[in-house]
Amino acid sequence: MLRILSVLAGVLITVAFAMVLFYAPIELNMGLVQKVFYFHMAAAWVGMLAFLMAVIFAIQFLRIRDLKWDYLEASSVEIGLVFTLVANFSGMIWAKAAWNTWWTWDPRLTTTTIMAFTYIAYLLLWRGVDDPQKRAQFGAIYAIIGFATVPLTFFSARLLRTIHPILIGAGMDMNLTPEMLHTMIVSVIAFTVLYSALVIFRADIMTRQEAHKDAHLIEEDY
Amino acid sequence: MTTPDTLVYAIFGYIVIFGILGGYILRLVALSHKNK
Repeated sequence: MLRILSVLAGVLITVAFAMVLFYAPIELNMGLVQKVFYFHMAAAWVGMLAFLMAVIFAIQFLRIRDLKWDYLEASSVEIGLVFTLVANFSGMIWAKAAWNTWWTWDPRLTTTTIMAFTYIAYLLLWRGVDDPQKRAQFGAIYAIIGFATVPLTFFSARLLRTIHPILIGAGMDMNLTPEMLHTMIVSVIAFTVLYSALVIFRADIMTRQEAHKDAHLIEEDY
Repeated sequence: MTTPDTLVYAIFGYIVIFGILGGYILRLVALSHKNK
C-alpha cells in the first residue's frame, strides 16, 4: 500500500510540475512567480486536511484506546505542520513579489501562524510525555481542541478584511483560466496522495520506535 | 516587476517547496533505517 501510494505521489507530482511549467499560462500581472501558487495552495490544503485527519484519528483513539490511532494522529500533525511551513514560506516568496513585502500581519497570515504554533506546541508536549497511554489521551484531546485554529484560519480571509486572495467560495477574486484550474486540481491531488503515503510511513516508524523503546526498557530491567 | 525578477522568485519558491518536503522525506527514510 505504502509503495503504491509513494509511486503514485511521485508520478502525480511530476505531472503537476510539468503542468505548472508547460500547461498553465503565465499570469498577466504577477508573471512567473504566480506559478508558485499551485503548490502553495496544495500545501495549505494538505496542512488543514492533516489537522482534520488528526481529529478523526484522535476520536478513534478515544473510542478504541488502541495506540495505533495515537501514532497516526501524531504523524498527521507532524506532516500537517511540514505542509503548513511549505505553504507559509512559499507564500512569503510570492508575497515579496506581489505585495513587495515578505510578511505582513494580515488576518490570514496571522491566523496561519497561530495555527502553526498551536501544532508545534502539540508536538513538543506530545514528545514530553513518557507514558504512552497518558500521552495518547493528552494528544487526542489537544488535537481536537487545537483544531479550532483550522476553521479560524480558513474563514479569516472570508470574514475579516484581508489582502490575501480568496480562491474557494464567496468572494473568489482570482480569475483562474481552465488550464490554471486543472493544474491546481492536479497539484492538490498530488499533495493529498503524498500526505497519505507519508502518514502511513511516519506512523509505521513511530510504531517501530516505540517497540525499540519498550525492548530497551525490558533489557534495562534485567 | 519584470519577467527575470519574477523568474528568480518562482525558482526560489520551488526550491523552498521541494527543499522542505525533500528534507522531511530524507529524515523519515533515515529514521526508518535507524529503527529497522
